[in-house]
Amino acid sequence: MLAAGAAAVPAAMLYKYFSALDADRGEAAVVPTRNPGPSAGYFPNVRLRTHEDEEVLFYDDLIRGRIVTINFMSCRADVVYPVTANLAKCQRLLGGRVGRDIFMYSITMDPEHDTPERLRGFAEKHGVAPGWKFLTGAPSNLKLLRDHLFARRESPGACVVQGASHRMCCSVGLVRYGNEALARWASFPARIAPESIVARFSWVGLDRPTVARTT
Amino acid sequence: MASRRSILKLGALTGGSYLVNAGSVRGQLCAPDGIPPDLIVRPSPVTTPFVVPLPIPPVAVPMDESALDPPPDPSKHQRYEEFPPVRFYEIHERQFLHTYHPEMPPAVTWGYNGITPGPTYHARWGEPVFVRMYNDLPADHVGFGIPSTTTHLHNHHTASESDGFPLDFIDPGEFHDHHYALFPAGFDDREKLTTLWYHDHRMDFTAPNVYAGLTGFFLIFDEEDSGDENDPNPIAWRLPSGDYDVPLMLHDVLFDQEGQAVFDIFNTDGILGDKWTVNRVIQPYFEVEPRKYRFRIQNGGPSRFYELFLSTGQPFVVISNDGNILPAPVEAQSLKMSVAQRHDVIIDFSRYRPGDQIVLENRLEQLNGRGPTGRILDEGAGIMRFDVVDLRGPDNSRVPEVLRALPPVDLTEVVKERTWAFDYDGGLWTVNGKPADMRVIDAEVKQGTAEIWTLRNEGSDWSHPIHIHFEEFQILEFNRRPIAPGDVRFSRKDVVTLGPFDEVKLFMRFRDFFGRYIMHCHNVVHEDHAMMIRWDIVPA
Ligand SMILES: [Cu+2]
Repeated sequence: MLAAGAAAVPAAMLYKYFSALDADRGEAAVVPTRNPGPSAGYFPNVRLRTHEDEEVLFYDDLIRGRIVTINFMSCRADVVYPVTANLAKCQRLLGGRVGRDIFMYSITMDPEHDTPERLRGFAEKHGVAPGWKFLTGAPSNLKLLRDHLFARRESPGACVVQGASHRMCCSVGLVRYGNEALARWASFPARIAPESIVARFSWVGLDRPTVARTT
Repeated sequence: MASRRSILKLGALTGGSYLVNAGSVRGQLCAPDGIPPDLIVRPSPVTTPFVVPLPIPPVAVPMDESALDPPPDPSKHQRYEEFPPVRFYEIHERQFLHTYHPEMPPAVTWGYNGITPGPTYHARWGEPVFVRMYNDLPADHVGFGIPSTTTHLHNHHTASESDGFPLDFIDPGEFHDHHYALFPAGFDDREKLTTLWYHDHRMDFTAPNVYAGLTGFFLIFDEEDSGDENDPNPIAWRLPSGDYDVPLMLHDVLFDQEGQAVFDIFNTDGILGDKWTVNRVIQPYFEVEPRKYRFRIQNGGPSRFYELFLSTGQPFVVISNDGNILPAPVEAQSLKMSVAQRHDVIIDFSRYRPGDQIVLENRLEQLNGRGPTGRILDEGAGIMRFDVVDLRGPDNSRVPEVLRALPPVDLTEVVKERTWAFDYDGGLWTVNGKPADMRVIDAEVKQGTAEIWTLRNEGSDWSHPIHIHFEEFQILEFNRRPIAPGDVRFSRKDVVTLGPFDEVKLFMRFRDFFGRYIMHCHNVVHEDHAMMIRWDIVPA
């Protein structure tokens, strides 16, 4: 049903990498990606360390071609603004699909405190299964990720000090989800009903035969 | 740390300077480190202003009911048999190439029937409409926006199943039927709307889908607002009509160097563009005769607030607010228009001579998507230009001194008061501290009753144009003061703009239909980041 001219349009043209941040990478070390997908520019390809103490490249190893969730968190913020328990419920609802069709990433905003060991303990406490990685790394790399994904963070520890009765300024309630094969990205609130969350993965291509999964 | 309440008290004591205090104490959001205060650090390509003629979207063409395959299913609609459609449309959402400006390559765009804005519907009160909306967007689309849609006719008195509820979406190859019964709320002629727009309302993706082009006009006429300035009917208002009745859809858009629209999907504050488009072309010109015109101005968003002026200082004669004809025309030096707001205005160019040029300017400063600074700039940005040419015929149009009376507010109908606080929490825009979950009913209202809703902005650093679906409301109090006659807000409305710490009290009725409806911020980026509630109309 497309107009004649439209069929010839490379669809990726609609989605152009836009970032104000190229000029201001600070100390962050961005590794050129081996094979940039459609929104490679949004996701700096920085080295991170998982709670299982593996080294990974954010874009190349975690994002490219995948349906994922990304949230910024910290073990200390999770005490006053809990999100991990709800995301763990989502992982259980999704059964074995996490790690196969969907990948979950939780990136700390508090690397001074959240070492790989602490994150491992935190993941174990929440019954996190494979396919969901907690990530830390050099503060400059984490800052670049936060900036690209528009995640707010106050000074370290501020989230904790604020307490439950105040507005949480850090973006810990926000989960990004999407499918990098389609460059289709959106957000959901971390604490809504797990059923409302897991329904969203079909929107970005899970189990949609009409949707090409190209990479 | 001071609470909001103590800050407000402080403000009262210091005579209104509390905004500054509050900002330093609480509520001001710092953008993530390194993000500049606005997104316009990579400007769009330079284009010459006022070289593109203003395009006018074509009028939608009805079809024969028998051509609908399968035929409409009345059982899917409330009150279908009572209000059988007399006009049928089939509309196809498509991807296509669109020229925003001749100095830029065509841009990949989405629209209704392959154009943006989509076709303009011409409807009449009392003549129900049926629209079958097909999603023919590419299923394998790569990029911002989702090829999955739900269409809201803002703010027609529509049954829930036809209202474009965010989860009532269709995927490529599917269609959804909309039944617009075209009777005013409560069968009260004073509840008629005149200028409406339709747009996509997809859960999580409204902002990119609207930005991609899924907007259009829907105009409703009747015996008074008959669309004929030569109408012999003595009750006809004879407002400027035909070529002199012009819809203007405003969107600000950002482009890359290849001329493609860009959208930062991760920015949760709001998206600003540096190109002013009207009916989706950049800074057009429009030839006008020295006579009266009716312009139907719509702020299509996604996040921009305008205050519009004419470069000559001529005031606007405002005849509607949010599509609702005012009790009487109001003369206004400027038009404040937050996202989704619309005004019909009369501009009389008879004071000008052929060759004169008048620029429609925006002078409201806005540095980020969270809202305007409130500063009025000395130098306006040119949105479009009116070029005066020779008069081609007599101007028989009129602007009556009395237009449409407001329906009465009867406080004895009120059965409940609710308060809704609009705030920020954990990276999300919240209502009463909660982000949207459309499976959760946040309020149940009883059909046939009225309620008072108090909406309050808890933030010092952002504005929210709040839109409530279904019926128009009236403002009882804005910051504890009633709206005076002669104010353009002395009107029925469906969007109310909450600046920092503003509080507004609304009178609302819920008549004629049942089902799921919503209230949300119409900065559509805020909407997509969870500033939305679901409320249901249930039997009394
Ligand atoms: Cu808002």
